[in-house]
Amino acid sequence: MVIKEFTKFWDWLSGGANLFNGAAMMFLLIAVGCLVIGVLLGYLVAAFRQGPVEAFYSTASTLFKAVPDFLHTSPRRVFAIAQLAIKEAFRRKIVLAAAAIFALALLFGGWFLDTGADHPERTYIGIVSWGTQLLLLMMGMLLSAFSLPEDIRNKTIHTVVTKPVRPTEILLGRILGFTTLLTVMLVLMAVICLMFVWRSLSHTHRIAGDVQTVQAFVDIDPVQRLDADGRRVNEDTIKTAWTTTDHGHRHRLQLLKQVIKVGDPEPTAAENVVDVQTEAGEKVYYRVIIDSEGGHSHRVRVRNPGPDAEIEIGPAIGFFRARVPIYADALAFTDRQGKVGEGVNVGDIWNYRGFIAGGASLAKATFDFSGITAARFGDAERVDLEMTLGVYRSWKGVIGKRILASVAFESIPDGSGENILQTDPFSFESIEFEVLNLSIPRTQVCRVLDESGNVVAQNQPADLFNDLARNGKLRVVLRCEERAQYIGVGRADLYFRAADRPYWANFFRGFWGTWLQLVIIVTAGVCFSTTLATPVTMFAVIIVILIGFNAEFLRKLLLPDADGGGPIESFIRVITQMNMQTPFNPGPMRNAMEFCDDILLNTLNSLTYLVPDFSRLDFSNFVRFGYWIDGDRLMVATCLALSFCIGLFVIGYFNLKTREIAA
Amino acid sequence: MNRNSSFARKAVLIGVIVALLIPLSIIARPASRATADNRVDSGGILATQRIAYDLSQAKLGEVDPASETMKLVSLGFRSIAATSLWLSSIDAQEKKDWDRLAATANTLIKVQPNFTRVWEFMAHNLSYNTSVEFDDYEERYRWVKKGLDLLTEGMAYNRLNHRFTDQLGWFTGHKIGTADEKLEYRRLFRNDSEYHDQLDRYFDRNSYDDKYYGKDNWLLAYQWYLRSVAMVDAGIDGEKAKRQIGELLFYMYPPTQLRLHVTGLQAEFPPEEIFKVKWENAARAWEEFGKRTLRNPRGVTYNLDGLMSTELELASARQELDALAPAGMREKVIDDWYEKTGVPENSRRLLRTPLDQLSESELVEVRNMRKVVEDVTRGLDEYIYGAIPPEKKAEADKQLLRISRATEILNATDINRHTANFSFWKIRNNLEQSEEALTAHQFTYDAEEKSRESIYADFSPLDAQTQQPDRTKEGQPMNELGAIRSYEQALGYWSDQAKAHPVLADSAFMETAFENAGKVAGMLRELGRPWPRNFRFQEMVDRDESTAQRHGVPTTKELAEGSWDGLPELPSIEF
Repeated sequence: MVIKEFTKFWDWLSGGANLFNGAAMMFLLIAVGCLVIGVLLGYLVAAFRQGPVEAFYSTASTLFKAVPDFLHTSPRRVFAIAQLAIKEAFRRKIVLAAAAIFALALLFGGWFLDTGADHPERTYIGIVSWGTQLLLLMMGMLLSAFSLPEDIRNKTIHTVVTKPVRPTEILLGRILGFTTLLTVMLVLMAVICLMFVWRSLSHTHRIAGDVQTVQAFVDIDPVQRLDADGRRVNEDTIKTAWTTTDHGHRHRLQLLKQVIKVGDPEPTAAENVVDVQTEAGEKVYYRVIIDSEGGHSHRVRVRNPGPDAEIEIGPAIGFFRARVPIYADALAFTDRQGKVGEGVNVGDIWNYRGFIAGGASLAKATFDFSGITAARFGDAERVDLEMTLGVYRSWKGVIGKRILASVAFESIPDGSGENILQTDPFSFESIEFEVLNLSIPRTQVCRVLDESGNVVAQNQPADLFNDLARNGKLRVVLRCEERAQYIGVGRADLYFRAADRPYWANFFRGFWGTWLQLVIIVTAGVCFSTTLATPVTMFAVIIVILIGFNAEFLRKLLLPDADGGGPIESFIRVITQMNMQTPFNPGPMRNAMEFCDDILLNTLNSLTYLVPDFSRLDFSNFVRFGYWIDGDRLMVATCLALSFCIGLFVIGYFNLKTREIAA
Repeated sequence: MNRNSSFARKAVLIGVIVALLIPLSIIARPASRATADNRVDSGGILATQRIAYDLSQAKLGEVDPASETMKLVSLGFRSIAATSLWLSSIDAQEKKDWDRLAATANTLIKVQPNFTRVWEFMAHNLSYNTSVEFDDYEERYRWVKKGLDLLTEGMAYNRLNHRFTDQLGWFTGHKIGTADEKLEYRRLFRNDSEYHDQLDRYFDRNSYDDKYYGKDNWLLAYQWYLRSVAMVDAGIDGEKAKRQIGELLFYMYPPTQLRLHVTGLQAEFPPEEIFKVKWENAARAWEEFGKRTLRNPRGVTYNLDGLMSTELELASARQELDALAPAGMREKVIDDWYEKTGVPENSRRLLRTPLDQLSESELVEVRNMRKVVEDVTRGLDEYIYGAIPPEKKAEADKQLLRISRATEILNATDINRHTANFSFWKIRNNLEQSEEALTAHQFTYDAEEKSRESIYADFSPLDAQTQQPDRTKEGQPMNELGAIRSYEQALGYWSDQAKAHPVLADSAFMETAFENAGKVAGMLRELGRPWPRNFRFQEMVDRDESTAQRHGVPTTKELAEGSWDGLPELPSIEF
């Protein structure tokens, strides 16, 4: 999965070494700036209406009156208004309509979803997250946009404002009421979505043909030569068979034969292994394995001993995971000459992955980890190192053979003078665009290097946690082992899989982002509606949603050097049917056009920052790809959402405070 | 606003709605068939256009609820939804999010199910562009199939559009049969029972199953192309599909697949007797194609095999025109030109000889010269016509018309024969059926095998006990010498055929022969041996010095200059 931000919450909030880089300080500065601008604007409006002197007093009075309003906001009154807001929402039947649309979507959603696709869970989760998000945001927009203006239009607001209720309480009550209602709906929808996804993807298979027992498997017609099949097999495979096609796919089964001599270590007992015969001091074991297909596999069990053992295929495994990754703190690339850089660009437009040249001892990618302790891995004997690699071949090589890569581990000394422990490279065949799991034994054989890189000892047994990562730090060195071929990797592509968490918990964490978006939309809707009419409020909220979801795209469009230029230049090119690359003739017209475009682009670009970037509040990809959403990420998103809500709330308060409702 | 004005406003609105409904109902009137007199009413303009462009899934079973729902829920914003999906698919491709790309493609085609180009683009994107992004050939094959599946799905929405079956034929043949990993792909295809099960609804699986080598992608491609031809020629349920590409290519694809089928097998397996039968089938299909009457975009009908008869018809018409004019006019003009340009006497003799009395190589030469003669004598027929007395003009008009028609047909035939490389394949199809050609292939196969074996066996003779190469002893390069001898035999045969059939000599086919000659040169150079005397391919080498030089094969001139030993090493690529 692609991750570009690896922020730690406290570092983000405090700015680490530089306080002014911290989000807290940034928020404070922006808040003060906004307050000053707000006061000035308020004063200007008041001055226009009442004259400069009167305006000064009214602005100061509004400001001073705001303090008790904020300080003496009564939770009891807020809850009372929240209850009213919920009742009002039910009365408008929006909830009912949303529920009906949701039910319809789930009922017919299966038409648009293909269970036979690769990684169908990603599509399913993506669609249900997106659908729920869209439906609830629309609902939030409608509820909040209609609320205040309708009350003002019907004059029912007087039943509230004539009571000792503060504007803060009116706003907070409505926000809280709508948010509560939407939260309940979100939880319900999340539960139903989880059940929908789980039920849609649950399946099993039978074995096609008469291959129901191990013996039948062994007896498959030898004419079906393995190499004629064209697909790769395990080196011990003697026969292959297929499951039935269910859910648009099927799996291949392989029968592995292992002959163990007396005295040799026996294979690890497992539910898919059966020993069938002992002859001349040799024992024959059969193991049945099932190939992964479309991102999942199945449990295979061999019931009963001996050749008549029945083969049983269990439910799908691999769809629903919540891996807890430990990502590297830093990734560094070294080229063929040993120079530190960014990795080779093999011509991709997207430069997320840097590539390592193969067959060159100095070319490598080094991942520096911290916090590698036995406790985080449950004191396990083996450690899962997982990676998603890119492969680039500069020549065909051997088509049937995957590109070889290797990883090696190194200790990272705390200070100078310490020796470095280094393991031999562990070679493996790369698999592209899939998660490759390497199970690394905890005990490693290392060489010891002194500070200058001279080998001072060889073949030293070392524990991964206690020796190599004795200070919690560990370096993983990734290399491409084939000449003229390349392996590509990004920082999030290689990680230690510390543990797995419950999938359902991650599923709900994924919806936390949707909830934050909802809160922003409800707050925006309520606050905009303090001064705008319902249609205008709805329009404004839709704009917020559109900008929020497409912030990245819009900012890309608003780059000054984008093809086709700014709005004016683009317009001229469209009407004159001029292509996007042809330059305009130099002259005053062109200068004027570019000057205006610059102003427009900068203004529009700044405007995109007034709306929260909803992609930062979207965690559905973590759930889609099966990664645990870490607390830091959730905290950062929550703070971001809160900061926008606070800003909107303050604007809404002053709007309501200065509005003459009686008019 | 009082009650009356509100009522008036509503009445006006209802009136406007009704007024708009009237033209709407006229243009949207559906097509119907009156049962009494069985008269067909083509309906309003929308219905007519829908039928004309085959945009309706008219039968209930053909209506895809997913697509219809998608169109319905996007309301009037279908084009915006399509644009957004296109952007998303481009983004997914840039970011190598292949699952998202496939899912977006599937959604997009539901929004735009009748846009042929969308299906074609997306299918090509999956089969050609996305598949190669994967390093593993098994994964690549899966993505090639995703493109094929998409096109197969598209057929249901566009049942009278032969572009889908054409593309299926092209993808199945070209992508699986000519990619770098074609051997792996063809092996996977042969055993892909899941895919063959899917195809059961379109074909009898024996129709593309070679009895000796299993299921073959080229034979399946042949079946898809036949389906296209049937769609256009015979139609489906009484409705014929509109042909969307030129007749030449449209009817050329099926016989081409049969030929590619056998060349594919030759590249993969040792030569067998059965190949002769396969070449025979390919030749028969090619001949049938040659006899088919085709029409070019200007409406001229011709058949590729009818070149000679058209040439004779032209000659006959000219003869009859000349008979009406004063004697010797044409000969005089042409002879003057011969004199002026110094055409050799032998060529003049050939040009005067009736075409049906020429040998194959002479015919090729005459046809090449004839183009020049035709160019310089343009307007000669009209000049002769001008000299014909008025009482014979009526007859002359007839002959002039015959000449004009024959010239048009001749030009169309000539151009399209070149496009289809008709003569070359006709000769090659026939040659390959011979025992000698099979033997030549056997020699090439043996040479390649021996060359491969020589890599580890030649200098390491087998150990008597273990029968494994003994790398401690140096042996004789028997395999390499055997490879050279076998290449020589094969090249000798192809050289003889090229001499007999000039079309072969001038074709890209000889490139393979030159490649093999280059391998011989490389091995001889490695062994430090002299270039073989009386090398049967030498004449071909001398005819095409630049190709020979490219492959490191010495010409007679170089050999005479003694520069063979001094030839530079072939450049090697350093990675």
